[in-house]
Parts: sequence; C-alpha cells; structure tokens
Amino acid sequence: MKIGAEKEKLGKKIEPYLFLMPSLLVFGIFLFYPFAKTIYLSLFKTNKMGQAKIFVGLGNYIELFTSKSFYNSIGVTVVFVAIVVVLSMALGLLGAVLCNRSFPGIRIFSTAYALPMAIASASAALIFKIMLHQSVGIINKLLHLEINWISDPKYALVCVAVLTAWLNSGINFLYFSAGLANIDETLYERASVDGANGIQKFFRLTLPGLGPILFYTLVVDVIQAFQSFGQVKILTQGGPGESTNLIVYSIYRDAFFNYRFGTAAAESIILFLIIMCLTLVMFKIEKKGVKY
Amino acid sequence: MGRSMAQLELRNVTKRYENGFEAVSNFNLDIQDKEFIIFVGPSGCGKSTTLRMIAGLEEASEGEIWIDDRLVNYVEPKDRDLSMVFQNYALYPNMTVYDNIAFSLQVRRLPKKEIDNRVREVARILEIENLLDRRPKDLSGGQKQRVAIGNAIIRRPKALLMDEPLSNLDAKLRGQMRVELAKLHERLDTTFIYVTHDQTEAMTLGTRIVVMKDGRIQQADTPKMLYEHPVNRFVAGFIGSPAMNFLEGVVCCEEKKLWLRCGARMDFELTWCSVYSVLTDYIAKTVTAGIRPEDIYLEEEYRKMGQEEQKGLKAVKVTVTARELLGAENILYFQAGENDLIAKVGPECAYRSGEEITLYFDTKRMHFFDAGIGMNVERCELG
Ligand SMILES: Nc1ncnc2c1ncn2[C@@H]1O[C@H](COP(=O)(O)OP(=O)(O)OP(=O)(O)O)[C@@H](O)[C@H]1O
Ligand SMILES: [Mg+2]
Repeated sequence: MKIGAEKEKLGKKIEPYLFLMPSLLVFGIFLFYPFAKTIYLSLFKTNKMGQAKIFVGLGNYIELFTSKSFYNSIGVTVVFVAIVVVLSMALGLLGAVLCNRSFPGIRIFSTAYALPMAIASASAALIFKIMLHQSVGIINKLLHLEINWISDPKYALVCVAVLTAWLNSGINFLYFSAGLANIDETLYERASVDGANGIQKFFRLTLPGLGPILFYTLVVDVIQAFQSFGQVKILTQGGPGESTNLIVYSIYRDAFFNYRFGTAAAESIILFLIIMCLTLVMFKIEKKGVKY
Repeated sequence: MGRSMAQLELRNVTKRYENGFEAVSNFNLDIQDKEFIIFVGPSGCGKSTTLRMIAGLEEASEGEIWIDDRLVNYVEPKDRDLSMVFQNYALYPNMTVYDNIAFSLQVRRLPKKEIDNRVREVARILEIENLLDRRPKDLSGGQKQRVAIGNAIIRRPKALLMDEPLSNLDAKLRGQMRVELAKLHERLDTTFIYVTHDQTEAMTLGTRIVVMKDGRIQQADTPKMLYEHPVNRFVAGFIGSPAMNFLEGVVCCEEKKLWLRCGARMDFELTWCSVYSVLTDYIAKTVTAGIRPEDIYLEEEYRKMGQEEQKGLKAVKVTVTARELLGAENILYFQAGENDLIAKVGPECAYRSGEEITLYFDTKRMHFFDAGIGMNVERCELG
C-alpha cells in the first residue's frame, strides 16, 4: 500500500519532465550542445578540419581585439543594423498605415507589402544584383546614372542594407497591420470630432497604440539584422575592400576560407554577447518607457 | 462665454449605406440654440446614423445639414465645432484622464496655462479632480463616462452630441447621471443632442423628443405633447411605461350617444372623450382605442374620487392574470374579454392571479387611432 503511494508520488514528480523531454532533447542537440562546443572551440587553435588542437585560453579574443579588421566589422555591422532596422520598420509601418482601410484592390496591396517575407534572401540578392548592374541595371537606367553600386565602397553597404530592410519589412508590415486592426476605430472618430488632424492622430493615437508591437518588432529586427548573411554572400562577398564585411560574414570567412575556426568561434561568442546585451538593454528601457 | 449661437437644421436628409440600405429617410428637423433634443426609437431605427451625420462621421447621401447658416455637408468633422460622447466612451487608452480631457484643446495648440485652467474647472464640475493622473483602464464605468463628458464640454462646442452615453451603466448610476446631465445642460447653456432608446431618459431630459422608426421621424415634440397627443399608434405605444393598452372596437351610435364596442362586456360610452366630435366621423368604423395603464383604476381608488372625477370612468369586469409589485406601485396584468391588458395601480392592491375584479377605465383619457394607418384620429381631422 505505502510503496504504491510512494511510487505514485514519484510518478507525479517525473511526469512534467517527461512532457518537456522532446523539446529539451531538440534544444539540447541543436542549440545547447553547439553553443557549448563554440565556447570550447573559441579557446583553441584548430587544424583545417576544425578540431581543437592547441589551447590558447583567451588568445583568440585578444587577437580579435587588436585587429583592425575586426573593429571594422563591428563598425560596418552597427551602421548596417541601424539602417536596416529603421528602414524596415518605417517601410512596414508606412505600408500598414496605408493598408489600414478598405478600398478596392486592398488585398493586392497587402499581398505586395507582405511579399518580401516569402522571398529567400539569396534570390532577392540575385535580383538586386541585376537591378543594380552598372550598365544594364534598371536603377541606373531609370536614374540616368552610371554608378557601380555594388563595387563602390560608398554605396555597397547601403545597397545591402536597403535590400535587407526591404526583405524584413514584410513581416513588420504583418505585425503592424495586426496591431493597427486592434486599435478601436471609434478612437479615431472621436479624435476627428475633437479636431485632430491626420498627423496628430498618427502621433497621439497610432504610435502609442502600436507601442508594444513596435517594441517587439524592434527587438526581433535588431537580432535579425545582426544575423544577415545570404544577401552579403551573394551581392558583395564582404567587399569592396572590407566595406560590407559584417560580423556574420567575417565569421564565415574566417572559418571556411581561412580555416581559423577558433577565431570564428570567438567572433560568434562576441556577436552573441553583443546581441544579448542589446536585448537586455532594450527590455530595461521598455519597462520604464512603454505603458500599456 | 463667447460662444456663438448654435442652430442646427437638417433638410430632407437621407442616408443610404453602400449596400443600398436606407437607414435614414427624408429627415427634417430644426434645432434651436440650447435645446435638449432626444432621438429615441427602437434599435436600428437610424438614431446613431443621424447623429453621426450631424457630427460628420457619416456622409449624408441626400439633403442638407446646416449649422448656423453654414452648409456643412462637406465640412470635416474637426471643423464643425461639435463634440461627441460615444457609447463606449472612446477614451484614449494610453493617455491619462488629464490628457483625455485636454486632448481637443491640445490639438488646437492652446497655451498650456489656459488648458490647465480649463481642465481643472471641468474636472471640478464633474467631480473627477482626484482622477486626473489615472489611465482609463483604472476607472469605473461612471467615472469613464464623466471623463468622456469632460472632454466633450471643455471646448464649449456649438452642440454636444451623445450616443447612448448611459447605456453601459447600471440602473442606479444611470438615474444619478441623468440628473447630472440635466443640471449640466442648465449650467452650460449648450445645445444637446442625445440618442437613447430608454424612454425614461427621453421623457425626463428632453426639451424636445424626436421619435424615430425605420429611419423616419414619427413625431418631434415636447415630452408632454408626445405623452398626451401621440400622432400615431407607434408613438403612443413607444412612449410611456408600461406601454399603452390597445383595444380594437367599433364606434356606434345608440340612444343619441357614441359608444365604442370592444366585444363582450366592453362597451365604452364616449360622451366625455376629448375627441368626441372627431369620432362622429367614425361611426360604424373600426378604431383602435388606446388607454394608458395609469388611466385604469381599482374599485377602491374609484370610490375615493369626487363626483366630477368619476365622470367618464367605465367599470369593466376583468380577470387578474398576474401582479408585480414595483415598490410604490403595482403592475396588474389582466384579461378583459379576449384582450390582455395592463394597469398601473396603487401599492395597496393585493389581488391574486385568477381573481375576478372590477376596474375603472378613464374614457376621458382614451386615445383613438385609425385602425388602418394607425394615425391618431385628432390628426386625421387636421390633415
Ligand atoms: N455601415 C453600415 N452599412 C449598412 N447598414 C448599416 C451600417 N451601419 C448601420 N447600418 C444599418 O442602419 C440601420 C440604422 O443603424 P443605427 O446604428 O443608426 O441604428 P440605431 O438607431 O442607432 O440603433 P441602436 O439603438 O441599436 O444603436 C440599422 O438597421 C443598421 O443595420
Ligand atoms: Mg445606435
């Protein structure tokens, strides 16, 4: 009798963990293990196969922090992330505000604004490459210019950033549309009777009403922008010079061109720390600022 | 206060929605300065639509809307200088009560100092001074309603539009707010246009009531006129609670007197009726007689009356079917012939369901409607 009860108690204790097991397993294999392994690797010099050979402690990190190329990467990434986040949020918001009413053909417009979400970054980059081509690209043709967008260090980063912003704007559009649909229509009616014009309504009703969603998209966009890779790989390969050498691309280069897996791992860890700190800071600010 | 006159005029206003549904038809109304106008009617009769057309939130399909000799059909809501209290209050959720009240002044870029003075004055009038820092979600229904009114009156608009502002409140609070609204109207000297389907609100607040049905005005009149001289059967049944009783009957002439025959045991002598002369045109025709529940008396009540009062009261044998005690009065449900009727009698009445009693119907206060079109016979004579 007593043993039975004990058994039952034990079963009750284990039960929740059993339910968690599958997802823990998946996380463990694909997330926690690689993460631990990366930390481990970042402390070693490796051979060409990526096997840890010589323990160097923080050597890889010290090397990074004394390399000009790494600082360049960080600088380029920060500029890139800033452009991408601001532009993709602005595009998404603009689209959502424009589509937040019913008129004939609204579905076509909505689909068009949400479409970038469904396009692979690689194929978008290929299309942009053609559009930005110096002699046959449509951009130069329309603007009557002869700029080599992708090979000019002045423009290359902006081009990649604009492409990425456009790609990310699709999902932002979707989030913002959902957020706008949640704002009570009668608030706008009251505002019109109260005498507010369109701009006042936007800044005093729409933006505050979107507050929580704006914050959420900001966090996600920042993280996503830091991790952009495909478009750089196809459009510029980090060039010209190192003008578009984003951290993620630099990790890729170090690991798979230079076979310096240790350095690449260290860069990954630093990237991780940067994103984590940024996210924490954003949440801190949000707690103070945004009111629901 | 430096407020201009506010005269509102609606001429042949019609609203047709995109789906072709005509929500308001040929609406004509003149509203004078400082009136307290009530739009009342059953659900879906177009009250809100009319109010929203006045506010400019809905475009009139036909007709003209004039405010102070200015045609406003194509004037933006923000330029009409009206304010509105919405049914759900529509408070801005991310602003404090202070900003909610001040909003309409802030968007007009008034000096901060003046805004502050006016917000505090309004808050004092509405007794919400202690709530100014709160957000709408931390307010009770009645407080929200005050904030919404505060926002509406702070601008001293030409007219204050209200769409069922009390419908979200419980009965007690509704009674309180009703009194306060009446006071507010007196104090502000502004035109009020008020939508409700609660006829108690309509009767107690309005200086003029517009009864609507299916998008058309049935009657626009003072509460007293509506109660005493309803133009048709619909208005008669809509105004008053419990609703007026209706009896079908034939007018006939016997012994040189007019009678209304409403089936077995129910003959009413019409000698004392106010519309006696009109009824002579209806001899041998069917009419609908209307009698209000408060114009039917118990035997005890009848006995206490003077000779003069007893005149025109007609005894009818009825069977009680139910009784509801409503504090100071009883609502008596009874059957007379094949008609189910209602009487409002004194609290001392103790009859039970099934009892046979005698009730006295006051024929002096009976209304008569054409059985076909439902018009009041007094109007038929005029028209
Ligand atoms: N956008 C619309 N499109 C089509 N029909 C509408 C629209 N808005 C309202 N209606 C119809 O117009 C009629 C009048 O509506 P309205 O809102 O004015 O009624 P109401 O008198 O305010 O009723 P309630 O007392 O229920 O608020 C209703 O039958 C309604 O179904
Ligand atoms: Mg309504």
